[in-house]
Amino acid sequence: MTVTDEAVDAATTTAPVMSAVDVVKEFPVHGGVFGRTIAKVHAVSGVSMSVHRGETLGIVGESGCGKSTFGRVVLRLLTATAGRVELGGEDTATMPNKQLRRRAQMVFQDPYASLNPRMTIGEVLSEPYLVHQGKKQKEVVDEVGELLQTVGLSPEHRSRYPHEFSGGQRQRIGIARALAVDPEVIVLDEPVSALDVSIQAGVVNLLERLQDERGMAYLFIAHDLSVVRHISDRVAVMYLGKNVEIGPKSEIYNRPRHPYTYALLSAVPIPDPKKEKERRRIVLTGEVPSPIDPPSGCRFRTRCWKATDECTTDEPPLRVVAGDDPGHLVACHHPE
Amino acid sequence: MNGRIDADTESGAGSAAIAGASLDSSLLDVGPSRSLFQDAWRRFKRNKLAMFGLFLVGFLVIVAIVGPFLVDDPTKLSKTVFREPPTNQHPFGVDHRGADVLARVVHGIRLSMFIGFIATVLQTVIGIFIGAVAGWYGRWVDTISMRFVDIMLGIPYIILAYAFITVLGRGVPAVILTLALTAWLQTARTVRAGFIQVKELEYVEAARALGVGSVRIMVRHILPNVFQPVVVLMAVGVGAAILSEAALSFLGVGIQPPEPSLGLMINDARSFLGSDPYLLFFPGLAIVLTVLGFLLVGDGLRDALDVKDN
Repeated sequence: MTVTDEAVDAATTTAPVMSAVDVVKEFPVHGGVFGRTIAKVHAVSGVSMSVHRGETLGIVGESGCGKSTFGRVVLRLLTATAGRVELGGEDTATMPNKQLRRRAQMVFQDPYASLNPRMTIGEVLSEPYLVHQGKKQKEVVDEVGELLQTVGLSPEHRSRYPHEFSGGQRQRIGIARALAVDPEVIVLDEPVSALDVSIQAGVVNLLERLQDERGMAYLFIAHDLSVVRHISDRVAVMYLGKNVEIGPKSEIYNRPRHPYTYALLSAVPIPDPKKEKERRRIVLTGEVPSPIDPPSGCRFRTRCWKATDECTTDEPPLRVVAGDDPGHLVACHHPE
Repeated sequence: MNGRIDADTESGAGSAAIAGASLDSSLLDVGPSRSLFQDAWRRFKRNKLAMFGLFLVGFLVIVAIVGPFLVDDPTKLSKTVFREPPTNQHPFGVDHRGADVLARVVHGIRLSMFIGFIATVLQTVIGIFIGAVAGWYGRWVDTISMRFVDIMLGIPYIILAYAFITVLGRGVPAVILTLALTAWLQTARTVRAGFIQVKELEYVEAARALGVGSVRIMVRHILPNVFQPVVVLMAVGVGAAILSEAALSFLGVGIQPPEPSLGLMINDARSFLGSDPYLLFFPGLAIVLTVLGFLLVGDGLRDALDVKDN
């Protein structure tokens, strides 16, 4: 039994590695002559989710739905406006910076922007050891070589500069950097969306292998539904700063309850011409409303074909639909 | 590669795909190694004007280092010869005090170079520090320091320098300090602009996510990436500092006689322009060539370094 399988079984019994409770992040909008705060961007509005050891939680949603902001709040790269994030039961708000960084790491979206162009790969990968263990680059040559091998590169690459590598190779270096501190949680912010499709598979498979070997929890942020389906154990769907549906992968993909999830999944082409012809596609009308002034009640109601008066007045809570898996929650008054 | 992600496969297929992709030989192919410096040098070499500038600077540096051992003492005055045009014994002539002009020009170049280099290093350090702090911390720190820079830049340069040196006194250290304290403004602005741009990049966020402290992020991650325009400013700055030193000495507030300063020599030669133009010609030529050399090198560096990374 792999670590991943254990994790799914353990999900209901053991404590999560990372849990976020009612996380809110608002950005002030400055304007006017004196630069006063004239409005707020409600990027994340009360999102709660947790991941267990060895588990991958996929977070999907359109651009601007707050998934990246949520990932950054989890790592305290942004301070939460409200709510709290716990790592192994400890509140991260009061955790010393070094400890937090040792336990939770991040892999960034753009492999071309996430490596310092003036640092060799050896310098990039030895920096975690310098910061956390006070070891100089010369003292960690073996560790760095090992890291490079772990991600499928050669130890000789340590003297090279980032511009000498391809996108996929750079993303592997970014992953190696996150692994250096041996974290419990890694937030992966669209780690493969900047890569060619042919390269994506290699990186995704590397991530899966590393998780099997080391048992870290992943928070996998993406907008590519097929990649999320491949790597995730559970999936959370976000819309306009809200978590509208969360549950085991098979539940979300086979029995989506939220109209938004339904619409998202219907947009995925099926690689089978016969089935593809029968695919019923739901095309959402309108644009995503502005997060400065989100709709009242259910935030999806302005684009939902099932919206009623109730949706305008009452915000639907996350709950289980009768007959579903107890881990499958949906925030909708009229679930599918 | 057979590890293709298929929307229809469930996680069971994932483990099979792992084996296929984990050891892909294409990952080990990396192009030939070539440093950013080598790239820039290659472009610099192609620029004829810049190479001429570099030759000038190189020649004058050698003159400044070796020259003083080959010429007379610039303060040794002849009792019999005054204002003599170039001869075999005094190739640049003799000035009104009876000193050998060649000796004074060579020592003048040495002093100018010394002042130019030290002042530039100092102003660069000040400019980087203030620019980095303003750009990194932003908000009121940025507002205060940059408004101060604006005010300083609003004052005509020579008046500003005159005011500073009046306070700081006379002599070489005072001149160096004056030049440094008046020249850091452009460096600070450039560094600040670079910091504001680079601090938003993902690799800086990656360093923060790794737990790297502010000072190390500024020094190791941001500074090397904003240093290129600073290098250009330094090259141009040495030339500008030499020119400013000559101007201050010309005005009588810089280097004091009998120290050999090119500006001072030009000031002295002014009175004899009609009868003895060679007294003005040689120190003037020395200043022009020195400043020209540094400006050409600066321009060449700007072109050689002004390419996007990769």
